[in-house]
Amino acid sequence: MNFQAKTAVNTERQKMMALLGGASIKDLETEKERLGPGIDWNYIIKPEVGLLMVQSDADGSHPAFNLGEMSVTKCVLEVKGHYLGYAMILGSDLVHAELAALFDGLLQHPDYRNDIKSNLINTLAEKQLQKDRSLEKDVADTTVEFFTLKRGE
Amino acid sequence: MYVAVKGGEKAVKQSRRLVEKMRRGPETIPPIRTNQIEHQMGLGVDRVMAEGSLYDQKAAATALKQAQGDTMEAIFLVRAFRTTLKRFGTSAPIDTQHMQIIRRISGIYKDIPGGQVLGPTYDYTHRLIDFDSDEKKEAPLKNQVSKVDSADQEISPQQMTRVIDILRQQGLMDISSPMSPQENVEDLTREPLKLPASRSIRLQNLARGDEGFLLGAAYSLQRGFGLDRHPFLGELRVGYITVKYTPPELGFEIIVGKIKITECFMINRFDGSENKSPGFENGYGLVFGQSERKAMSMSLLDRSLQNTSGQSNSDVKNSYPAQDQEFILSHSDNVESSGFVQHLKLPHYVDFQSELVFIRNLKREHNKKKENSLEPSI
Amino acid sequence: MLQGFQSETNDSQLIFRKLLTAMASPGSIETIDLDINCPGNLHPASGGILLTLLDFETPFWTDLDEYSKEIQWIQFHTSAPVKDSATNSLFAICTHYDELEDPNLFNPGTLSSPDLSTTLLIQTRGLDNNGKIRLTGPGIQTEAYLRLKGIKEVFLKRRAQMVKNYPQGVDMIFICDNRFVCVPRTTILEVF
Repeated sequence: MNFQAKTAVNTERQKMMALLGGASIKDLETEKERLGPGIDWNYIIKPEVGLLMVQSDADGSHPAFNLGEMSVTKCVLEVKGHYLGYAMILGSDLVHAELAALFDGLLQHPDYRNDIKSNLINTLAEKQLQKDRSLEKDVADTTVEFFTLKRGE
Repeated sequence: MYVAVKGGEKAVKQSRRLVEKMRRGPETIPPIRTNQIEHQMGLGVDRVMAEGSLYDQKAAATALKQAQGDTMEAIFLVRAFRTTLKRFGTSAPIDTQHMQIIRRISGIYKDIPGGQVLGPTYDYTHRLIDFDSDEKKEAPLKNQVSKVDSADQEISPQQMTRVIDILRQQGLMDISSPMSPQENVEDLTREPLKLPASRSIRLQNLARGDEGFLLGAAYSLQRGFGLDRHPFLGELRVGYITVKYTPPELGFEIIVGKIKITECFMINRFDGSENKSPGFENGYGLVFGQSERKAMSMSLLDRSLQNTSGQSNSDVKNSYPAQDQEFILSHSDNVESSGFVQHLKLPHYVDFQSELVFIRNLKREHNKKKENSLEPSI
Repeated sequence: MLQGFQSETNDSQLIFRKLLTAMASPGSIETIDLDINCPGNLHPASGGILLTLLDFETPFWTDLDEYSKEIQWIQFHTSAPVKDSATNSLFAICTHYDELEDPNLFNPGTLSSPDLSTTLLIQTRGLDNNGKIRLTGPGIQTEAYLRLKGIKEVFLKRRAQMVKNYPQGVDMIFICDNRFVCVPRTTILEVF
């Protein structure tokens, strides 16, 4: 396998990885059970908790600075002898990171890709959308509207 | 001289057992669950994350439980935990312009694009303690899950033009800093503090500084110990931003997750100088979690601590504490300050023995002098 | 891609402790009893020490090809950047011992920051204490002897000269298979 830097941004994979990172463990475990036996993998990097330093941007009003660190969990698996599943997720949940890496690997496998996409990924995307919209609605309700009153109408 | 130590180890063990017993409290009361602290004392968790300098809600909540609610003790626990973890790298610069906003207000413009979004805040509560029983208080909240259908309009982050950009568009504010991040941003966790400090280091120091200390310092500025004019809140935003990172072994950028932050732009009038035209300047605040007091204090101090060579206002000639980099930056870290103040509890027996000897000698001389100077007739 | 440590925390701590011991007692050979699968020409001790000490902030120099599987493995597990100049690196891993002639090519640190020097990992054909390299100095009770198979005498003689530049200098770790021995900059070397 070639591990040299790939310069093209892999957007669909990015989005799916993000959904896996934000998923509940229950959803991931349910899908794993649904897929049944025969899913084997090796650890390349066992789930490991570490840090990422969060850096602010520089936008002309202030320089970039190091805001503080966040806990992340990283895991790399070799799925079904060939596909490298990668996960780096917010938090310190080792089980979650392993499941996210497993699905990232399986999503590269032609036999599993479409199945997982139409099931797990769709479910996760829908749940995330609902969550976001619900929050947005709650927040929008607290918006102050300033009206200019029109006379006579 | 030596004093025999007996039973020290046993006493220490018992002390630890006792504090754990005190922490648990009476067995008749159910124990607090860490997830309750994480989800129902979120603002406490936010402060521990900000000053512990580690965005990890589980760690912060666990620390608060273990420390019986003592915030600074919890912050210490989080800092210690942080030192055991490996740093994988640095995130991509976070894009606060595309925040998933939950609160956004401005004190300078009433009618801002996107509106004043009040969001979740205690600012509009009446500050009356609600003594109703827990059961009574929880009941009405059970039905408050918002149902959304696709017809509802979503708030687009793009609609929320930043106030600071409006001021720039109108030519009222200049660009005062680089527009893109430098190669190697200085890091206070890697190099000791050197004064005068760069703005990057000052901001990093303030972001993890003690909220009380910064608040008091900011208050002093407003009361005249450093500011002779009213500052204005350009914009305050609270929301979630996406953290992205490009792992070298992967070769492309990934979205790691969303974190909650508070961002503040404080605006000050600048009356002009020989080489700079009049306009507005800004101070910046950025903190983990929802921490408005801290972000605002940070933004006021960001301005007052400018290096003297860059100072533009006549009101900063005197060096009040909140204008003194050494005073603020050296004393802002509560783990450091707590450590030094509390170290006084450690045995200083030998030091004090020498104090005793010194005082006894002084007293002897003092009494001798008094005797010699006494009037014959008393 | 091969796995790194079986247990990151335990294995790296074990190796770190052995490094401390070896640096504190120059000339004493330590063995790493771990199962480390490194690719190609990397010896298990080299792989283990690099995984323990390197991270994304420690640039390293190597005589291996930048795109070799050994370097890919190191970078995959540590994210450590490769430097093309030996004088700019905090670490160096040398596998072609027969090409090594001048330790002065590496960074000796500065007077105010001697810690910025390069720590040099050198793979050998064999190492034991029955040799003609005599070590004395801090950490050595009386004297210690080393045999470093494959290392050129000119390299060792030049290293012997460097001791007078203390606090500047280069700390060295000689490796063979899963064993290693340390020669920090304070050690006095004599080649017989």
